[in-house]
Amino acid sequence: MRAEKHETESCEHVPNLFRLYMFVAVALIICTALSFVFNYYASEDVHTVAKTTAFLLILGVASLKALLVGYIFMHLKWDWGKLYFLIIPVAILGMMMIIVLLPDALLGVLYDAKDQLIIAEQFAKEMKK
Amino acid sequence: MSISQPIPTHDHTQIELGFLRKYIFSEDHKMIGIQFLFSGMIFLFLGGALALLVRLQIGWPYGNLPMVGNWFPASWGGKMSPEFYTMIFSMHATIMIFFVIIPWLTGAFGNFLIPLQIGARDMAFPKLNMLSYWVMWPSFILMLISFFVAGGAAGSGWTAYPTLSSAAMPDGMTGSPASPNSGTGQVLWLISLLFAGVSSMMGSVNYITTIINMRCPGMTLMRMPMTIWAMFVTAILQAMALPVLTVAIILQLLDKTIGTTFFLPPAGMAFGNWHTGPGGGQPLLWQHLFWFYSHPAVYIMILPAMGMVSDIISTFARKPLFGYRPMVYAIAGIAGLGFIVWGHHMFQSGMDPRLGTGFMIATIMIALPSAVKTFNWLGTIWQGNIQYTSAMLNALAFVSMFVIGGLSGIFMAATPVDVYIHDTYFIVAHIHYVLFMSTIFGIYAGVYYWYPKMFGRMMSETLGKIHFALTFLSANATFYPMHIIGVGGHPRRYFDITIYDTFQHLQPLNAFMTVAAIILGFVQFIFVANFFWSLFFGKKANRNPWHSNSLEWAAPSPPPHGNFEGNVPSVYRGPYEYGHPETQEDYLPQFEPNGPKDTPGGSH
Amino acid sequence: MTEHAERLENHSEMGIPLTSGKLCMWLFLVTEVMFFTALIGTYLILRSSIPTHPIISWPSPERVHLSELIGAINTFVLIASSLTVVLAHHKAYHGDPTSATRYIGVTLVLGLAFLGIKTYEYKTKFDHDILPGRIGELLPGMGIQRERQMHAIGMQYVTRVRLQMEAALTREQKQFGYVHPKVKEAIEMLLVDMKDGEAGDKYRPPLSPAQVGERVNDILHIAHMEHHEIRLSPAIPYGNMWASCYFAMTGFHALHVFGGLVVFAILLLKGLRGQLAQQDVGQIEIIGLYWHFVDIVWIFLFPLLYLV
Ligand code: HEM
Ligand SMILES: [Cu+2]
Repeated sequence: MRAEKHETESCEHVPNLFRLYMFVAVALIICTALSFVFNYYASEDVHTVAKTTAFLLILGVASLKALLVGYIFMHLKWDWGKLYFLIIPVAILGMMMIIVLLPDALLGVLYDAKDQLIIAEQFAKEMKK
Repeated sequence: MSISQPIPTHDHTQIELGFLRKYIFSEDHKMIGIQFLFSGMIFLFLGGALALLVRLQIGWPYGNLPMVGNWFPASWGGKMSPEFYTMIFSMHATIMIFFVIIPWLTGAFGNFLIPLQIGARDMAFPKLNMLSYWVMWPSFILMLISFFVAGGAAGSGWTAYPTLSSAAMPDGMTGSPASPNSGTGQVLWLISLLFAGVSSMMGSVNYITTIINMRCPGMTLMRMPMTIWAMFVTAILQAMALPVLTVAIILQLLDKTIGTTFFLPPAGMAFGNWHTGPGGGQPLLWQHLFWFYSHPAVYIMILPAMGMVSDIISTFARKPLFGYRPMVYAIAGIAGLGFIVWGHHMFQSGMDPRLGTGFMIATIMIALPSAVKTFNWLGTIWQGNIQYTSAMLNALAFVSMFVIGGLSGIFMAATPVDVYIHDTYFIVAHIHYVLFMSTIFGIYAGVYYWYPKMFGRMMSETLGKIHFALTFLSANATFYPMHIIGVGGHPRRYFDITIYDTFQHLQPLNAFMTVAAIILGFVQFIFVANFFWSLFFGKKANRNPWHSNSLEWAAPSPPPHGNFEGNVPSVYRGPYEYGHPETQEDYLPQFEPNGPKDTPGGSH
Repeated sequence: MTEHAERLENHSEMGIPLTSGKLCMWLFLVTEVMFFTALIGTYLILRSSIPTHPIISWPSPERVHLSELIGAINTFVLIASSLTVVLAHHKAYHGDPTSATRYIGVTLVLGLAFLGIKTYEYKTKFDHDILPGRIGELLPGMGIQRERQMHAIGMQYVTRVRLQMEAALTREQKQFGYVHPKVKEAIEMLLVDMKDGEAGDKYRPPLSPAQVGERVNDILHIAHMEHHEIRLSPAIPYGNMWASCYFAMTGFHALHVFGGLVVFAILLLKGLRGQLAQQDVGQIEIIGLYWHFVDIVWIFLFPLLYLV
């Protein structure tokens, strides 16, 4: 415990840290608002942005927020050099896992839900009649 | 600026702990390691007994079992039932993997060796360490209880694929695709593995912190023994892969208890008036999540053994380890590639075929670092001054058996070939060559080698050699023919294959393997006898009986609480200076300065 | 002793200049990253394996009574609590334990608020019976083949709905002495139609599970229009999958929040007793790391569950 003080030295000696923290918090809130805006433009009634685009934009905003929290609040701005060897592999691994699984998910659409789609098409036609 | 660690304010050796604190709720990494060693040994025998039952059934299908039959319920008529058979092979694998090999490698050897070999007084978090052992006990107990619940213990293989495992069948219903044991038994299996996972997680976080932050002066990363490198990489593998298994287990648990449908097919499943509830999930997803953990896990189950064997081979060949850096990179490479090959277990499961090719290439690539390691071991032995101790014999067995296991792996890694041999006895041969005949030989080598350090006495070399020879022969006799019957098409996990005419001709081989397996099982008692006899009557060991170089041999045998008397030693060089030209002895320990001017130096 | 020497003593020169505690927390977070990646990955994969079609697709937030506003408020609450944690660390570091204690207190309150709002949200799910294993999954316009395939599951749903409706008629009447006449009428009609019987001079077969699901949804709609609360299991295509994912993800997140709050409560007690010393600075930082991570998880869960 004794040495803990020196660890944070690097970050806590930054002038105006308080203001930086405040600034980040405000930025986070603005980002949240931004994702709402995207969501609104993608919603059924407005629909000026395609759903997928909005999805990617919103995820992008979320990633930005996560980066801000990690970079400033979690002190990575100062500790990155000591921790990159943990964070880079886990980031790669996590993303890879999801990406590798996606083709199988699409297989699900192809096989399992195909008949359901056909049924839905028929149903939609009947509704029109 | 003083280089060595200061003398601790209170002398560790002076504290007299009570029996309970010393042997049971110990926070000392050495005692925890030994606890893992003993509990692993208990489960090795339970798992072994189950394996022999499995073999009996395959050797003489549905035969009247002579002595064992009397223990079965009267209604079975002295014969094994198919459900029982399914249950015992599932539990055999589960127990061997999760309760024997992993706890032995990371729990026993990891705990015992890491602080000693890096020159620390204990783990970074001794309390966490103790907890990681005691969290294993709920796991052990739940697994044991599951044998006695209605329907018996889990019976859908150690892989627990849904829907076989996750669709629980209520009592008295037949015709479900679920395994009959997949009721309470499966739930207990899942909870038990959750605990085991938590234990491993605590252990791995602790090991990584210790290895990064607690090394003694001069112990740079590139001066660490291979054992430590292997433990380090293993711990990283565990830290990154285990959470995924945890999620998979929790999701299956939810499927089985509160009616979620993560792993149930979209239409749900209904049989008669029995059904699973609405679906929408993906059975294949379990396999992805499971193998995302379990392929790295097979490396968790061999890397530490590889590390220990590297040290042992170098010591007894009296030669520096051939290609230290390539060895380190190979371990890292195996670990890295190990994360992108899990799909090779799913070639036949209906996964997107485009993925199969990628997984095939990655899998074949993993043979490269494995080959680097093998050739480096051979290079180490080459022209060495080999001492055939029991430890060395077992280590050499490790290397040769790993070659066979690795080669059969390459066959299976090729998708077209795997179409044919998937889920046959060929797979069983592969897993036993890598897991039993590599890892277990590696563990035996480790026990023979570090026994003097653990208990302060030597094991009997004669008994050790007899045990080795018999084990080596009977293990090969047991597992080698599995390749043959596997290529012959003999499926794995079948209760009785004699009902198929095609397989009739394989039956004599099956019976032969069963006999060999029984011998193999009983031969292990020699080891146990040797172990316990030496505990009390073995020759007293001195500090460094093998004339080895690494740091643990600087400590007394057995090391006291706090490991090193006085100051923690400083390290001056790598651990493989055998046959050093400048010294008279044929070894130069890490902790001894070579001349008065030698300084530890090094950073990180 | 100079600070430099003191540091050497603690780290014996080797290793990276981080305390073991902080390193351990980061390692723990690495495992947590994989944990939540697996959870979120499961969600993404299950979700994208479902077709997008006007009639059968992943349920929209409105369909499952999920309010974006509540989600957004919770996001603000967590961001604010993250801010107060760093401020607590900041103050504690600069030797101001009183302010630090105050900030920890605020964090605790914000965390509790988060859980409170979450509880409210869960309650609405319970009220609407949007729970795993209870939602009617049957898809509209399902062909005979499919119906047969899912018959058993459908019958389970039909039985549950019948019991719910019968209970609603008696219980609500007892409780309020009043069921909105329109709702009552619709329920009674559905109950009749669910039995087989005679209509005019013809035999009339009972409703299929899918038809029951549609009728139940109609009743819920009427009740909603008349501001009448009634508990019936709705029929939502892939609703069960949605509920499974929603409860698994937010449930584990909430558990993590709870875990953090326990530590904050301990620190707060320490602070109130005036025992918050210089050495706790490191601990505040470590628990702060954890708390920010929990915040980051929510930052991803919020858009994934509530938006798009
Ligand atoms: C040269 C390296 C290796 C290659 C290329 C390889 C390849 C494979 C492949 C392709 C399979 C799947 C076969 C199938 O089910 O059709 C497999 C199964 C297996 N491998 Fe390996 N392997 C290698 C090394 C290892 C090692 C070192 C271990 C353990 C220490 C191991 C343990 C296993 C186990 C336990 C299974 C069977 C899992 C099951 O289905 O129950 N393998 N291996
Ligand atoms: Cu594998």
